Amino acid sequence: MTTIEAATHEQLVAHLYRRAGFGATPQEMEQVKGMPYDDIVDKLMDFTSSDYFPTDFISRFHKDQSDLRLAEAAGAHWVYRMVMTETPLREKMCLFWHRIFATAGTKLIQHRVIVNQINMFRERGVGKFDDLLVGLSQDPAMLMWLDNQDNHGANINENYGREILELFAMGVGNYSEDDIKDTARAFTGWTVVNPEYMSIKMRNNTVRPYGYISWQYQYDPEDHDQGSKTILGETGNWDGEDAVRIICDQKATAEYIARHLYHFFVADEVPVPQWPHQAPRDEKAINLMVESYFGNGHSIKAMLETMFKSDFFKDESTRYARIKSPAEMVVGTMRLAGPIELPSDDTYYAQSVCSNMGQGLLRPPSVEGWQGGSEWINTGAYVERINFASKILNDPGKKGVEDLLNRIKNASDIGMLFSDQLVEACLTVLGPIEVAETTRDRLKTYAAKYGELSWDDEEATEYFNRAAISIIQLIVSTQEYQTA
Amino acid sequence: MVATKFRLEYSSNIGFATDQGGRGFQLPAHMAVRSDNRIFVASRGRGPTVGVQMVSREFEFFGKIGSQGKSLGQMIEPSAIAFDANENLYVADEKLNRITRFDYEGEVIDSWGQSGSEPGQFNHPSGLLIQDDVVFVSDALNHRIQKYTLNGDFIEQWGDRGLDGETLKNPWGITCANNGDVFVADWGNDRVVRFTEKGKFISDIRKGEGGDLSLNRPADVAVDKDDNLFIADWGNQVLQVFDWAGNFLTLESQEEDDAKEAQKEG
Repeated sequence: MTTIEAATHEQLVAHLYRRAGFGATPQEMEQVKGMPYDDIVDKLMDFTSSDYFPTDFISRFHKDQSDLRLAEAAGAHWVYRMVMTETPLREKMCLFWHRIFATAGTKLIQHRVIVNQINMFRERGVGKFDDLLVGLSQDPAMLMWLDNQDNHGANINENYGREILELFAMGVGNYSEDDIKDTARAFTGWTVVNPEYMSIKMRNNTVRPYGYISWQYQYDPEDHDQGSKTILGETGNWDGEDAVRIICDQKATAEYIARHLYHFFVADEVPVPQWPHQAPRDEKAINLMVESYFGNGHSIKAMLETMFKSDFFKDESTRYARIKSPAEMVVGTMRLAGPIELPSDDTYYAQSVCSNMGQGLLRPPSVEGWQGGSEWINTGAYVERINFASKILNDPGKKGVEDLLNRIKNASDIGMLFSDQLVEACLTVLGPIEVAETTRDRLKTYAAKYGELSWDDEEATEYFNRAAISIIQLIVSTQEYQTA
Repeated sequence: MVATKFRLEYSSNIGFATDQGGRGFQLPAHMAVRSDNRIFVASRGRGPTVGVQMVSREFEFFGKIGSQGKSLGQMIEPSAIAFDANENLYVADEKLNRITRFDYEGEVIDSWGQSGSEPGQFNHPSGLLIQDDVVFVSDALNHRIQKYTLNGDFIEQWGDRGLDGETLKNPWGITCANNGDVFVADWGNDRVVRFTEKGKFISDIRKGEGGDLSLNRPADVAVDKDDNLFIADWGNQVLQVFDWAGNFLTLESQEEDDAKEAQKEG
């Protein structure tokens, strides 16, 4: 392999990690060095092991993460998982489903139930789509969010029946108003245990001697409409699981999920409300994923594999073409700074910054979630991004930053670096990141003020650290770092 | 006398969740009862809820000591409280890594401690015990117990990160036996350890003799006049009770209790 090919391969792998993960840390790049691209995709999609998560330690030292009632605690809790995960794609898929099946604590008053919903995504988010939709339809947060506890056999509430067709699985234009009604009827009796009492508890925030209680799903056969229903052309005495089966068998469903995957992982699509009126950006790509869906028993994992191994994903034109969501940028930067081993406020800071940038985790603005794309960026949000990334990486004592500095030093065999070399080494360890030539030139111009750098003694090391961190801070402020 | 059974009876519930301060608690972390039966509760929520609230057993609310902040007398994450013989109140703060002393009226007197691992420094002080004018501090992330005078002068310390014996892992609650020995909830090692007040290891309990549940991240321990241990088994979400020798005690039923009373009367 020539040097150019090697560089190209590395850049492709970095692209994969930016999309399928939160950007590669130098350690992650090292782990897959020399591996063929497809094997790296397989490694990223190995979901067999669960991450170690020290719930006891976190609950003890961050007591608000014991009950997870407040948005800040719940958001920080998830940020911690995303930063620490060894299976970043699984967490990315949680973000993906959270964006589509958007459920917010603002209506539910408490956030623990939404953390439970995210846990369900973690468990079912890359499996058979039918299982995920059943899990969603039985998820207490979703049931209460879309009022299915008020969907009774004798008096239906169409809210969930409408949204599962319109927003969660198929998209506008692929069903009728009658389908909505009969889908809602299929989900009658899908409720939570003791709904009246729990509904009052949810809203009554005062006398609560036993703390906040999570809802539990319950099927009430007495409240289920046992009559015949016609959903998307199929007639029978359907219940919720039948409705999910019928929905998941539709080509429109596969196309809708494929388009969402493309939108999230490959390139920004037009806003979802325009989808019925505008063809996908790359119909061939959508068709490939649809084939994969039907050829593999409605497997989301199979769709992902098809996507990541396809030419349309690898194409150079897609690189740095998506603006990172606040969560992607924030978590990726924290992963560079290293693992969180002790109680830390960084996770709280991170969730708050995400919120300031328009992506309050577990608090999507509406059931339609976030559109993303260019909406993530405005003047204030960009400043917020730069400030966060600069601050998190401005600590040579953090393990990840220390590791970055050591790797930059290792770029030299002679114990010193010229300022131009410093810039190149920083760009390499942070990705590698390919920046525009003008950006590269400006970075080098700025770095020139540090002259030749060595790390012979404490004073020189301190000077080197300051120089290297200042270049890192400039790089994380670039357009290329803020995109994926 | 060594008991084989014990009684616990529900009495009442004190408090409710609050987000705005005033009556009620948010994330109560520790409590202590003063000689006048006034209950002091360290609340470590956020904003106006942070501080030490004072209530009675009947849940009369008397007010709050401290507020959220870093200045003298303020708190961020109060974690443990204790009284000395003069009824001064000591509050450990895990975030500020310091101990603050308040007088009987709740006025701040002084504070000591800073972040670090040297003697006199803390990394998440989680438990407090005052015995014979000595302040014992369970210094969780330094995996040790430190001893101070009431004025905050360092006396000595013991413990280092480890799995057994005199070593500790993230110790939490600390209390004393009737003879002056010290019990430490060695949270990360799933045990309660008995030390001399000089820190010499005497014994530990990981699972009561005759019990069927190993301790799982014990948070705190209380001792009654017979040296029976009441252990807050945080990880298992239960209260476990042992006698001084580590025998597991079972809860006496109402029927057994009634039978005993009847026998006495008969």
